[in-house]
Amino acid sequence: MNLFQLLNKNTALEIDIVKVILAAGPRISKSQLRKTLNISNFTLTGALTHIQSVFDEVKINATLEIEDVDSVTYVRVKKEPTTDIFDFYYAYLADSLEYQILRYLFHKQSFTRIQLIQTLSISEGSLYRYLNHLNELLHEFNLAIKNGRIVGEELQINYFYFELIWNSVPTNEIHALITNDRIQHTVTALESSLDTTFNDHTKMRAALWLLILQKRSTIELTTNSVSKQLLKEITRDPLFNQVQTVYLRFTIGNAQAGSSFKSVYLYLFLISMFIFDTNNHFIFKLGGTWPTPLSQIKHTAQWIVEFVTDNLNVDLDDFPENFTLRWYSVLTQLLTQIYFFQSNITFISTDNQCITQTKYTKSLIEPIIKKVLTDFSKPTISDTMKIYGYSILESFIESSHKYAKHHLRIGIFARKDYFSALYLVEQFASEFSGSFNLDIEIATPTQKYDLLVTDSPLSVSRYHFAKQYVLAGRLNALDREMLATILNNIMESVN
Amino acid sequence: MKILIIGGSHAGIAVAKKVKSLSPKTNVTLIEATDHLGFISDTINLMLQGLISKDNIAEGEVYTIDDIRAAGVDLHLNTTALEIDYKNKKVLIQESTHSTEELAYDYLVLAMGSSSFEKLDAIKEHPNVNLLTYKYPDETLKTYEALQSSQSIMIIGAGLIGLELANSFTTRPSQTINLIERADYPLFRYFDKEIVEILMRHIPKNFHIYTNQNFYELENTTDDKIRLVTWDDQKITADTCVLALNPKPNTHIVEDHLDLNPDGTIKVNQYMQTSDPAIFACGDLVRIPVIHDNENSYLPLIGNARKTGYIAAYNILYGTSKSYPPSQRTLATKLFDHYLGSTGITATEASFSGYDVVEINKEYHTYAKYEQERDFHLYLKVIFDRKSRELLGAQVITNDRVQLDLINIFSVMIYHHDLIDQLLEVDTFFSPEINPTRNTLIDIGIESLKYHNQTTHHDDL
Ligand SMILES: Cc1cc2nc3c(=O)[nH]c(=O)nc-3n(C[C@H](O)[C@H](O)[C@H](O)COP(=O)(O)OP(=O)(O)OC[C@H]3O[C@@H](n4cnc5c(N)ncnc54)[C@H](O)[C@@H]3O)c2cc1C
Repeated sequence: MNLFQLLNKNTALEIDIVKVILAAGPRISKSQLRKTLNISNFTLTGALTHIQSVFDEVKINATLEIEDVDSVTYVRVKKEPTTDIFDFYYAYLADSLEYQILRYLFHKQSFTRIQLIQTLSISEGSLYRYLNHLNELLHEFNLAIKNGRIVGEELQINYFYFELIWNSVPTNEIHALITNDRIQHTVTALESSLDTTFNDHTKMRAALWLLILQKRSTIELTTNSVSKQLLKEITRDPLFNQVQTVYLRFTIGNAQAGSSFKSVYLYLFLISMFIFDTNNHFIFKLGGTWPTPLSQIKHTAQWIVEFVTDNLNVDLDDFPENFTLRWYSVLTQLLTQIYFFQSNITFISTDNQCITQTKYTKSLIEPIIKKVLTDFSKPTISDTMKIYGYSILESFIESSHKYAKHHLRIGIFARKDYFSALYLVEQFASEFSGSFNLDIEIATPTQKYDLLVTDSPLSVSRYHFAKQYVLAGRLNALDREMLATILNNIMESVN
Repeated sequence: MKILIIGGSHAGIAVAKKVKSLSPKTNVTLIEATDHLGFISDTINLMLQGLISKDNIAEGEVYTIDDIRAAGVDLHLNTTALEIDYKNKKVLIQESTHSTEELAYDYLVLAMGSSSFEKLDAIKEHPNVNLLTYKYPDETLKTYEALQSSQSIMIIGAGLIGLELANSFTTRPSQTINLIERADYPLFRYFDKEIVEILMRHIPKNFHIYTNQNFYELENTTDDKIRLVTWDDQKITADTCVLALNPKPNTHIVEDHLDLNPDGTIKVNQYMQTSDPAIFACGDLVRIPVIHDNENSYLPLIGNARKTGYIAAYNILYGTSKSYPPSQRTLATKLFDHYLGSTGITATEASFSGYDVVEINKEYHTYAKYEQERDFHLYLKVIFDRKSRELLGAQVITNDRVQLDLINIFSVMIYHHDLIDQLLEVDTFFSPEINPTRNTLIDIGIESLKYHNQTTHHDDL
């Protein structure tokens, strides 16, 4: 789910305006802005006035400045280096009635139509429309709002609220939500029980998850996504007992300890949501090559590693220990997340979510996703989860390249002088080394090259090479694209 | 002024009696759905141990109709409160099968307690399995009879309720007892592990305690038994299965109007007043503050039910002015011929409240060298905050009833926020014929000095 989908057209436009201005650099002309967004002068002027009033309202230390230079009107966003423009986006979101319905649900866990109509000052008809739209959006989480409650699998509901708050609430407000001592001490207890230290980000995530588990501690569990087989595997992990002990202590003062599944939910969260906490390989300390007790996850993760290493022609033993540790942990977490948690939430307009893999990387990722879906018996994967998963897999593939047995040898020949050649080597390396395993050097006649890149088709006969590419000056966008294709083709033929 | 109380058990009766003794003229009406007044749920154990016969189950009640009426309370037994009209301050009631009527109130006290066993997950998820529960007399009788005739019994929950029930079978070696607990050791709510480990050395041979166990299935077998399957696929079979768990609070008549906590209890302020100022709540419906714990806790015990009742009564009569004094959470029980007592918070829990604690564990055995026949066993654990040296908790396990009273001393000290050092300052009697030769309190006080890091004025010499 993209939170932009909760905004109405006008507010979405205003956010886009700010984005375009910021992307354009220091300033952009009004006419250019109108053209880019395809809007009238009237609409733009109205929107700019409103944006300024929102800036003032949220006190984010930003102003819109309009200046005339040589009879062209320019707009710029002036902000302090510490201004978090997301606070501005959050303010828009907070105004959205659909978002307010979700927050109300989070806060109270249920509503009656009358309560909502009164609280939000809306008509019955609008409420009906909003709920319909929300249900369309909740569909990708396999959830729905029915009779004033969110219904679906309990794990999914917890997860949806987690994603909602994490992605839509400014950090200081999340902090305020989780200041409760019991939650904070429970996070510390988890750290000491797992013999690890979470970074601040992880601490906050864990605390938020605890808050949500607590909020829904009395909810009946009607359906459950954790099968008997999985429970068996989970129970055998000593880590689970430790987590369960901490969870029971967390809820010790409650009138109802709640379902035992809640400790499973905490456990699943811990083994899947810390991808970006690079220090946390805590599960490894408890033994085992794969940091998961779940055979299905292990099986698929193993397949992915074999598939990637086979295709890149990498010997697993060539991965340094740290690399393996890190990536085994990331892959199992990613897969556990895909297995147990449906979809996720972003708050970026779609134009910013471009997928940047090279064709070759993409050709590896697609079969992986397919395999994951078949292994996990899932029909599809949501767009947001796809973007998330793709970026992690891409990063795994590209960092594995480094250890590939086969390096593509690239020779650079510049007709003019040594320094131009050196410059090209650097430019080439920074452009392509991330995606391909390359040895790049200034060409010498004694070496054989997979690809020779030159700034002149002439005087190259003394070099040995399989393919040649001629640049017309410095590397430009067209060169980049064509070179990526050539490198992809060479890679495919080599592997 | 008219005070209406819903629920005539420990909490409701405490409110009624306190109001009547402080202000005899105040009009107090008490509505109770059954014909029992303050039944003690532990009665089943007295029955199993042969102390109360099943025909005299009423001996398990604390009050009589005459007690309550003599206090001037307008008592309605077999009367259920059905609905509350908050705006007009009226409660719709129904006596047995009679037609409904309305009672007006100036203040309403909710004391409906907890008995919603049907809402427990295990029961909801296994509607066809006969899971026994007990709290009030009717269920107690049924459960008692089923237990009497069972060869093997499964008890789900090894907290106080479960272990006290199990304990009643100590002298019945022909019956097998299986206790199933999801925490890593029994009684984890009130005791640290090492105390419980001592207790576990004394459990009878016919007992099996399964810890760290969750179950996903309870099923009837073809030979009329009940089988429990754990998450790690262990199968435990017994003739009967008892849920030794606390039932859920009875809040359904107020849940649309009053603010509730996430755990289903009614939100109250320190005066036991709910989100509706004319309504107070007490007993098993509310959470109470616990000393040294940063959050209110649900502590369903008779003593707490009464205390919350008294506080509610006081604040209704005199305006909200008396806060609930934080509980020291003091309790004791007798299990397998050992007395266990606990007050304050446990060491494990202290870490959840952010304390850095020092634990002192001591064992004592003798009264006097010349009187070896009086030898006993006492294991005492005292915890205090390393920095402030404030006492946080104490636990004992002993086979000597007299030693159990140490817990009450610690309870009072914790109530007063005393420091561990004050153990050396209070006077306690000593007489060689009565006391053990070593004074445990002073002994602990001296031991605590090891953790004192104040320098003496000789240190720099
Ligand atoms: C198995 C078991 C063993 C226990 N053993 C002990 C022990 O050894 N020591 C100890 O201190 N505590 C023990 N407890 C806890 C103790 O029983 C409770 O804390 C105590 O009963 C709470 O008192 P109460 O007045 O709040 O509620 P309850 O005792 O639950 O009483 C509530 C009363 O309200 C009535 N009522 C409910 N709804 C309505 C309505 N709508 N209209 C009219 N009347 C209504 C009910 O009929 C009931 O009589 C035990 C609990 C259980 C379950």
